[in-house]
Amino acid sequence: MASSIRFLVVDDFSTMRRIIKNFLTDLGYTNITEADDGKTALPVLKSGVVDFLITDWNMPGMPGLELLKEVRNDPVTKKIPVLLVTAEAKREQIVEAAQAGVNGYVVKPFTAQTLKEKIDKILASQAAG
Amino acid sequence: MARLNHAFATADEATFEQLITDIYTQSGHTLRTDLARLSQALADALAKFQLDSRIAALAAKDIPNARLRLDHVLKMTEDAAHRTLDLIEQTAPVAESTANDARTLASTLDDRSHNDIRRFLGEVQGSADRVRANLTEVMLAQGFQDLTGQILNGIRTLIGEVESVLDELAKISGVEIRPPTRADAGMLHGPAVPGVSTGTVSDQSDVDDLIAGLGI
Repeated sequence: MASSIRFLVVDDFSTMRRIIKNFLTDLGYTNITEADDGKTALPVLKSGVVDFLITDWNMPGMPGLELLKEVRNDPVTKKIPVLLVTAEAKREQIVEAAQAGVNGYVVKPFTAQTLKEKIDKILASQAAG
Repeated sequence: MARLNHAFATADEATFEQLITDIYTQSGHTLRTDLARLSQALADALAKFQLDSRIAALAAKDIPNARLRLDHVLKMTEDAAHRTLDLIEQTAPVAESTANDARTLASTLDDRSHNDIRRFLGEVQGSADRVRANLTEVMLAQGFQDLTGQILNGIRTLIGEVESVLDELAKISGVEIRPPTRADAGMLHGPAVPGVSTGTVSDQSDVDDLIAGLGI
């Protein structure tokens, strides 16, 4: 059942975490955990209670790209789909994220439709794969 | 020059030194004149700098104040965004249940009667759905706080770097750090910034007390 998917939302801005969390709730996903940077997110991910990671890139401590690489390097977490939601909009950054194994990339500011489309697309490809 | 480059690239120290000596000998006079001019310019710049206590004032007060002001802007936008999100979270379920109630009630009405009520319920449902959709857009628009916050954080870091450079310069120049003379004394101050503004009221009740105390 779709709504049982366990999300982890990582962003250093509490407003953005709250926006994404509210939006996921609107879409029917109610199992949402939050973290404020990669360092606090990583133990949660490694504990195996996350099905879907939505993370910012520019964060103190551990930025999102480093978190993505850590996730991909650990057998426990390497298959978790990762959606980057970030203000970073340079082509080379998007390429870098893609090479690091990101599943989706949304540039802030984003619309409700864009975020929904990316989440749906990732979930559909997970279900197919 | 090509020989000099080659000597440098091949780390041929002896040739390199010889070539440099040749250049110096050939154009020794010009080089010495240039160096003298450069050192005079540096001395002038330092002398001028020592007179400019404004730099010390910037380092001592204005720059730290700018940092505090930015912090306050960050806090204000964060608070405002959270307040807006509070209200959205409280209002969205109201719109949603209104739409649902209208839908449920309309479905219980007989098809051939209550046309006016059915039409009205349809409108209520449509309006409540629109309110709900607009609230989602208002919610996403609060993302401005993240975006402006990131930019402010970048400027804050830059200001911190400028501050430490100015501190160093002030130390080098030996200027005594003293409070700035306000160049903007005639300007309005704008919103009060905690930790920066002095002599400001804290809220409207403070204003009322002050006004009442003045017999108005």
